[in-house]
Amino acid sequence: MAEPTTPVADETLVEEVRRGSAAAFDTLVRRHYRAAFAVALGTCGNAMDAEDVCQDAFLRALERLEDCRHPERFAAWLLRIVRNRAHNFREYRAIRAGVPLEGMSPTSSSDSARDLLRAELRGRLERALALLSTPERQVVLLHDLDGWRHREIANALEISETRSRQYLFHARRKLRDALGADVLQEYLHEA
Amino acid sequence: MKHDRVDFNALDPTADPRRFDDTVRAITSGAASELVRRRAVASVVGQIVIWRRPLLMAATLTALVSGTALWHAHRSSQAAQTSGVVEALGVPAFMASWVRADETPTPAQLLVALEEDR
Repeated sequence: MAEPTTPVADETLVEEVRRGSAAAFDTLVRRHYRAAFAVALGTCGNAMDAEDVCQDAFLRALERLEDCRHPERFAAWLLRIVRNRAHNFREYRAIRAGVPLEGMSPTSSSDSARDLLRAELRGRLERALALLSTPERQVVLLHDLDGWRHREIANALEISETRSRQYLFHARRKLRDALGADVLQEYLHEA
Repeated sequence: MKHDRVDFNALDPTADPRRFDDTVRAITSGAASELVRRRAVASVVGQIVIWRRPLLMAATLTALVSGTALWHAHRSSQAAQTSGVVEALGVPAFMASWVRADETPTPAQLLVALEEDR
């Protein structure tokens, strides 16, 4: 099915989901998954946990959809849930002191050379991201992974735009120090 | 500055469309029961919302008509009740008029009235 020229506004989708529309919920998930993943990864530190947190957060958001007083700002509201769930998940992990899943790739079942390279890159990125503070990770991932602007990040993470820029600056510098310019170059080619 | 951007493509959960579809499907199937519940609620609430305006108008009209009718009935029954009591007790007409007007007659008025009545 062809995508409509003007995407349906979040506000409309939220109203439809409130009435039980599975299609509207599907659209909301697809639209905001990457941002949710960025925030979850920023808090949890690894992709596998971040995916679990995202799944949990979307279901939680659906259950509490009546609490979303400003459906036009659904993304910011959702990300607050993601942050809380990710925070709880991290604490739960710390209590369990389980073996971290870093290095395990969600697509590790595939043994193609490209997927192996991708898994290796993911592992290196995760290790580099682990050197950042939680807000630095969240800002750099929202900005560079999902293309958010500082104003949107500031609104969603409840920080100032200046702070968002500072976090991004420090995050990128730390990532470059950790990964090296050649590795970053490698990523650019990979893209 | 675009060249400053860190390439997180390797971490992008949407980069592999098939895998992303699986992820979304896992979430939507987990949400199925809640969506069914919402549809059921919406069907009941929806009917109420659709009929809310006509129901409110009908209720308002009924209340107005009933209120007016009750007020008229109350007034006429009150008047009939007062005159009936006065007649039953054999109260003279001039005294009844004092009672209705809530007036206290002066001793002189009372004397004149009693004399006239005699």
